[in-house]
Amino acid sequence: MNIKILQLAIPFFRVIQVVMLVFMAGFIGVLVYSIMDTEAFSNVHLQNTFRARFSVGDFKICPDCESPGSYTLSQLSTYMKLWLLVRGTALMLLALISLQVILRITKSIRDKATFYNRNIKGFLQLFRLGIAIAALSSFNFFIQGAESNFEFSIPFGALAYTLGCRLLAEIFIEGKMLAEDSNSIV
Amino acid sequence: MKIIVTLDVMLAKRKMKLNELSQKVGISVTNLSLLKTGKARGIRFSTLLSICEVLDCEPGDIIAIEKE
Repeated sequence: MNIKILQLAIPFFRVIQVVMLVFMAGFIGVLVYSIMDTEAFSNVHLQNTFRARFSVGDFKICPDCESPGSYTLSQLSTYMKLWLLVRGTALMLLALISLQVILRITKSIRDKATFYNRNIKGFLQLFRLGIAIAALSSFNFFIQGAESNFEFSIPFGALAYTLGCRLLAEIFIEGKMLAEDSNSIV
Repeated sequence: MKIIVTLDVMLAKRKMKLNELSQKVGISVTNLSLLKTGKARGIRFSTLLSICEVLDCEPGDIIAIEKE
């Protein structure tokens, strides 16, 4: 087994976790502040924010620019900001929990405890989290005054990831059986 | 029909304890105990050969088929 790649993967996942946590804290902070002070962040333009995909969109700080079809954070209604907050936080939280599970499995494999029940449960947990991510990123909507839009798409990336996790769970179940067989041969 | 391990019979014939066999064969007492109690799912040819060498017997002396 290539231990080096596992040893590299663990700090890499930790860095991603920290970056995601910082981004999530910033995201929540900005949106909560903009809900409290509706005129705040008039220079933050939202792009692709209401698309149905695994993303919270782009937040472009642009004081004077006028992008067609994009809104500034201060122009959004409180309900839309709340939707943005709930959807974005849920997606990031699900991604963070998934990353935590991946980190736990990677550590377990590094410690040569590969085909263990906790890893099988981990992959099944990733499968369930993946379904939630796919469901949440399959739709999005936008209602602002007279303008409204509902978008639905099939999140192939998230579904492929989910299916991969389920397959890995099956592989680990088979591996556990083989390991048990091997251990019970004297 | 099932395969049973009659290692305890052979050990009694040779007046040997499991600990002694374990030391001579180089297999842990735990594994030999699993084998003796029929809890092991299989036995390697190398293990079988080592046990037979120490107990001076044939594989058929420690493995038998039990008809149900």
